[in-house]
Amino acid sequence: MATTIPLGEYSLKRMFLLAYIYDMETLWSALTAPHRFRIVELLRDGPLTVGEITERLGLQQPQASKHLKVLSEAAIVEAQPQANRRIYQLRREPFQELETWLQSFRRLWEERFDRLDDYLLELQAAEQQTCNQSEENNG
Amino acid sequence: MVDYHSLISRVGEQTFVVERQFTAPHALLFQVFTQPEHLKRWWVPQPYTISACIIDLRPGGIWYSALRSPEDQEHWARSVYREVMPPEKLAYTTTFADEYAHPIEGMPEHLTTVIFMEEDGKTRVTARVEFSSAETLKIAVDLGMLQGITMTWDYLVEYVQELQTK
Repeated sequence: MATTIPLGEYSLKRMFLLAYIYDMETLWSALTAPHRFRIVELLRDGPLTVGEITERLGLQQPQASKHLKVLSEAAIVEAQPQANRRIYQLRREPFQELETWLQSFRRLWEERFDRLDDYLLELQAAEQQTCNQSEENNG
Repeated sequence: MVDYHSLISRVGEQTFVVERQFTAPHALLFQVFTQPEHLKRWWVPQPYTISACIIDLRPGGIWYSALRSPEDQEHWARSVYREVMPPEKLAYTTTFADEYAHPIEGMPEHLTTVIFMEEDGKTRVTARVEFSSAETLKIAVDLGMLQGITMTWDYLVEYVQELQTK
C-alpha cells in the first residue's frame, strides 16, 4: 500500500492511477489464491505460527512458507518473532484500503446522478425552447 | 472469535445499489446512458474529461472510454455489454485498461446493471454494482472491519491488565 490518496474530487484518480492499481492488483492476486485465502481465514481468529498454519491446512512447511511470503510482501500479514518462532497475524490496513476503494465507487455513482440531474434539466430546457420556437414559426 | 453468521449477514453490503428518480422519460435516460455525445456531458466529474468514447451498443459489444485527468494523464475503462434492452435495462462488465485499452490483468472486474423504470412521466434509475470474485472480496472487506474491532478489544484487554497491575 504505497500510495494513499484522499477520497473526494479525485475518486476517479484513485480508481485509475496506475500505481494505485498495481497495489490493488498485488493485494488482489495475493488474496485470490485458495490456499492463501484459507490462511487469511485462519488468521482471522488470531495470530498463528507457521507450524500451526501448516498443520491446519495440511500443507508441507515449504509450501506454507511460500504462501506466507507472498502474503507478507503484499502487506496482508506481518510476522512477529517470539523466542525462536515467528507468529503471523493479519494487518488491518490492506482491508481498509479495499473497503475505501469500494466506497469510492458508490460515491462516484451518487455524484454521477447529481450531474445527470443537471444535464437532463439542461437538455429539456433546450428542447422546450426549440418547441416554443417552432410553435411561434407555425403560428 | 469471529461469528461467521455475522459475516454472512453483511455479505449484501458489497453489492451496492444507487437509485434516483429523474423527471424525464425512460427513452431519454436510456439515450443519455448509451450515446457518447451525452455521456461526455455528465459521466465523469470535473476536472476530468472524456477524451474518447467508442460504443458498440449490442450484447457482446465493447464500450471504451478514455478519461483525461487534469495532469493530462489518460485512463481507459473497457466495458463489455451483457444486456442491451432499450429503454429499460442495460448491463455491462467493466475492467480497467492501459493506454492501449488492453484490460489490466488481475484486477477485479465489476458488473453494472442499470434499470430504467418509467412511471407518470418520471423515471427511476437503479444502478447496481457487483464485483466478481465477490465472495473473496466481501469476506476480505468484512475481515478488515472485524480485524479493526478485534484490535480495539486487544487494546482494551491490555489496558485493563495495565490498570490492574498498578
